[in-house]
Amino acid sequence: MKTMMGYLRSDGSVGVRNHVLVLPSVLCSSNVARKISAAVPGSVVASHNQGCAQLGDDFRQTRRTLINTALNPNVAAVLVVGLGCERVSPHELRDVILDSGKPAELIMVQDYGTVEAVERGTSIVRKMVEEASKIEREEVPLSRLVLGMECGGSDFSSGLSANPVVGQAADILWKEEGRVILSETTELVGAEHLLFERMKDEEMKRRFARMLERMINESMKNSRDVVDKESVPNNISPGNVRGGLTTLEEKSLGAMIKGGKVPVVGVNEYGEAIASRPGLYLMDTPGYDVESVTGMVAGGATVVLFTTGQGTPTGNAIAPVIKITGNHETARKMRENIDFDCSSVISGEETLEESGRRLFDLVLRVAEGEQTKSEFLGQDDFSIWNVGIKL
Amino acid sequence: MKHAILLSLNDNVATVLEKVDIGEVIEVKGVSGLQMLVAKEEIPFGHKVAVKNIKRNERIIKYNNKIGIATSDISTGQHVHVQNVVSERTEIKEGGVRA
Repeated sequence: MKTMMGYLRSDGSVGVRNHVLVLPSVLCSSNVARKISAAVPGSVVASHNQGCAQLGDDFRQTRRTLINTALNPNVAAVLVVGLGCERVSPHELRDVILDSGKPAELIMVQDYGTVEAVERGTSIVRKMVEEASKIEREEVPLSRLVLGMECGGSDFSSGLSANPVVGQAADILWKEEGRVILSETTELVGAEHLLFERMKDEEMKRRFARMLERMINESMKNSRDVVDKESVPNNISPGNVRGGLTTLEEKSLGAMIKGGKVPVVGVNEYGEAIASRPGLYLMDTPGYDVESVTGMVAGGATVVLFTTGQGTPTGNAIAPVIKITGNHETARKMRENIDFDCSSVISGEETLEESGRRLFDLVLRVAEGEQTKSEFLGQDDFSIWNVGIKL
Repeated sequence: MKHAILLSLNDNVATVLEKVDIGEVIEVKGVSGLQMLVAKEEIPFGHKVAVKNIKRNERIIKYNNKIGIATSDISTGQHVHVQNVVSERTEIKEGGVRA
């Protein structure tokens, strides 16, 4: 059994980071949360614009994503920053986090006003960082690692090298009985038959079919004109087309390779915690990459492998995001943002297998503490997928 | 000479690894060896070139999988993209044909 050095949490899960998270319950308290985190090095903030005036599934999705982000094992302790009149209950957030065995505190902006709330919050978070810094990494099974697979700003090179290389890393982790999350429902349309073949359970197939149908129907419903209606089933951005991708089928086939050949063992709602069984989990998220990554990290991903042909600076508030490109020009122009260049696969200097092993070595180093480019550039992206109308 | 990759033996399109001008020779690196062809059109970097003659309504194959349908006859060396391929997932559009 292979092992790595990670942060073992009280529920048995393993973090690769030891963040103190400042979590606003609502947009209205996000500014205070950002100021608190900015005042305390060693803390992170998950700033967002949801939390109120939401209904039904949309409200439940926001609540679930906030709770599960706080419960991600990369987080050591949480300060919830509430406003006081929002729909997402900041008291409930704190209580659920405490019930999981993780330190959590709450501060309400309506109790003090901005300046005093920032001062009090800063003092709380400073103490939390001091306590968290005493937690040490220990030797844990590699199987506890959870990878989230993402692509953004795809071009011809994504499907030719970066995505298949990430698929190799998925296969390596699967051999160690680890877990992998694949998302972006819109980008699975067109290649879904290949995923159905990897599912054994009939109920799971039905859930996956419903998830695809819902995404297509909702997108069509929100299309206002002919251009929209054509771009929905053909979810190809102008940048994708300029890069040489022609149809959704082509894009989807190139995208789903990121899950390697791992058997599908779960189909999850956005931000829903994945089960403990090793294998591949399909999460219902939009293709919009920051929202997709936010959903997978809430679902339990502790490291994100992010392929990008054209280059993007994307990171995440609590999980290291490893940026991978198969486009040598992008690796050169955006060397400040790109962690891994696999253009060697296209030039023929390296095989997919060799590049996959080289990537997995980097994944292990990052899991054990090496900073990714997005981390030291302070790229703390966090955006919750909003699926309903706001009141 | 310019270069392109063929991802699977059954594919009828290859991806060019540099911009190709009309009349230039492309060396297509495939699974079972090399194929030479002449570009009949300008093909931008990263785009697809037909490595076989493809008839209208025939499937475009990449990754050994169908990625769309040809909306016109395409000959070896032509640029294969949105101007002559339609997704099988879209509704029938004017000028395009669904299989």
